[in-house]
Amino acid sequence: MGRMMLTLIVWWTTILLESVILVRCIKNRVVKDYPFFAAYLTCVLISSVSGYIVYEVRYSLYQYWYWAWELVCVIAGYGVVLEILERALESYPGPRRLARNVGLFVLASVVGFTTVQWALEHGASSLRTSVEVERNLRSAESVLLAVTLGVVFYYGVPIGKNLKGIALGYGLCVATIVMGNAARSYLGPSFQAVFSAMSAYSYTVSLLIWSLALWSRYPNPRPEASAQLEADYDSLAKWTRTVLGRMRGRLGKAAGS
Amino acid sequence: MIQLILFLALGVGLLVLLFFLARRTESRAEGGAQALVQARQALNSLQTGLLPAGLVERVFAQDDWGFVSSKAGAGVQRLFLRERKRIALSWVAQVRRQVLSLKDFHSGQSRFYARLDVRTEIGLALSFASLLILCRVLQATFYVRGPYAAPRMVGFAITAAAKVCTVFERSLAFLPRTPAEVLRPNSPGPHVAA
Repeated sequence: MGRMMLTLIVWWTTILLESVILVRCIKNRVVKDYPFFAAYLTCVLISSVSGYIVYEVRYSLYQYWYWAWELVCVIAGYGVVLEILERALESYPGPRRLARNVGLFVLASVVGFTTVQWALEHGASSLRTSVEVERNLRSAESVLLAVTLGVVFYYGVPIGKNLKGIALGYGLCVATIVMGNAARSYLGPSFQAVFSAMSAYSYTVSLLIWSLALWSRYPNPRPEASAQLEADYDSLAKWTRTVLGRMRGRLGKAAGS
Repeated sequence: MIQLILFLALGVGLLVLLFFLARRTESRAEGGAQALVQARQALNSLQTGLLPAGLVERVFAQDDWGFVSSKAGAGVQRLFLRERKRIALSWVAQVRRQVLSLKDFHSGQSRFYARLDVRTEIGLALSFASLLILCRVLQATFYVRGPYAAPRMVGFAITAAAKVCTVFERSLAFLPRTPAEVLRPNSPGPHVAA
């Protein structure tokens, strides 16, 4: 009874927080900067509210309803990750293209692998298949997000508070789901209760991060227009490569002796 | 089981990145003069930061150890080795800093180019990573075995320092074609500010 009550409290809290964040995003015009994030949050809000109704009115349908909405939210989530990539690197076309190419290659590989796995394991239980499909799709999302963050760190790209909050909250969500689904897929339904609690609490933390980060609008910092340098990239790359190669060679000898 | 470990590693890896993102202090967007000043500073650091070969040679010289070990007592020998080890570690740290400043210079400049080559960039990123790891290996070796534990290694280290300095001098000839040259008022080239 106590656990049921706690679940409902978490459920209502998430609905309340999602509504607050959406209202704030509309009011401070963050929704114009991050439309995919707003769409994702709307999806999750609809899913939370309708889920609560289905759960209370017709519990037998809840599992089907849950997986259908989960798929919608995963697809909307891809929009959020791509939006993080595009917004973080919008003033840096080269790194953006690099992150996009690497990320989309990984994404296509994982989606292809998942499709084949789904087709081959048609006879497996629907719960197991659904868990594995979600795990794979979320993994591709987390790789795409990790590549984006890696590029942001490597090139020292500054990002604004709004975007940082979105990336932190969404990343926490995805990482928890990936790890939870991996454990659920390995341990079976016995891990279900732990997974539900884990994902619910981490999602609540994500909502709190979003509430703080998106309360006001903080535009992403942009470099000055004059920073669009026209000098030859090949010279720079060649120079760096030459110095690096020589240094590595000499130090390699030193280390290997 | 392998799948479980892989996915858990992926999740943990993402959490680590998020931790660094949360800790990151937001610098303001760099651009224009600011970026060029920093590039110039990185270049100066590359040119003058690395210890001169002669000094490195002196630090790792076997003659000093030969003299101390033959003339001084055990206490002085211990003190001498401790000091030399400290200096050797400091030298590797200097080299590592140069590599880092080179990386900062490259990433700081290249991020503005629209036609970055994916292969080149990934290759360079791996090279930077391997070089930084190599410096750590050298640091660990000096820390564990001391500066005189592996004479051949010290010899290579001396050569490395000298060669690196030479390579720097030669390689800097490429740079007048980069925008950093704008900041050098007396240098020739098409980018020199009037």
